[in-house]
Amino acid sequence: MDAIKRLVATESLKTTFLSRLAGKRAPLFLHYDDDADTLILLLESPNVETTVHYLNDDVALLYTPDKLEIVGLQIEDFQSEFVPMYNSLQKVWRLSDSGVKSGNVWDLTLATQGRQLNVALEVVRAAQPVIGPPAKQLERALEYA
Amino acid sequence: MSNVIEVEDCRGYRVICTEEIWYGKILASRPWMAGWIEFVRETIQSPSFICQDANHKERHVYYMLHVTKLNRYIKVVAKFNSKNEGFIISAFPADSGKKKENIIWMP
Repeated sequence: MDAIKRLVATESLKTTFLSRLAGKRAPLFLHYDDDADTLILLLESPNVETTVHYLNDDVALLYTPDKLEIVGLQIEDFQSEFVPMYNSLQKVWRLSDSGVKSGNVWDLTLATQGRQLNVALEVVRAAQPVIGPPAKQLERALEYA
Repeated sequence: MSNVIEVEDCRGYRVICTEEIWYGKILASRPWMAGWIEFVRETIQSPSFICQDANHKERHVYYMLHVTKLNRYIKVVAKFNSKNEGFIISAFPADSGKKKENIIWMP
């Protein structure tokens, strides 16, 4: 896959949006798709267009394509690969009480705010070594979500 | 339930996207993709390349470079059965592929 050109360098992505969220009540959107085994964490409305920027085979940043602002994370192979690697995340990730199942989608947006926040914080902490400095800003923004 | 996409891919394999996946999964997490159904169809029919997922061999990943959509790839993942029928499970724009994905088709 390295033969496939990366179109946007990681260094080009900005954290101005995340910095501005600190101290404000940020919107938190958490969505898990059990067919694709993918978790999406957004600190912006899901109506805002985003692009996926892979950092490794599991972890990707979500950014706005017009301003290149980081607004969230996408974790692939979430339950099968990512969650089992982190004990603290395993503890907060309990599908049976994390959300409301509608069809075959776990809609975490319907779950309690506290549960969402715990999952979101543990996901960001677990992914921190891969994400690097933006992880701290994501975590800071989540403190006010 | 009907299909929102039902096409032959560039290899002659049938690929479909059900209403349940399109509305219940893809648009549930990315409502702004409501107008992207033609891009998704085009990606299946005329991809820039197709990869095989590293962890799920039955998943074929279609990428199409879309310079008109802010210079990025449209990525569509389809899960294939033993009859070579593919069922789309996700679709979204990405600016690269994943390192462990293997290219299995190029034009």
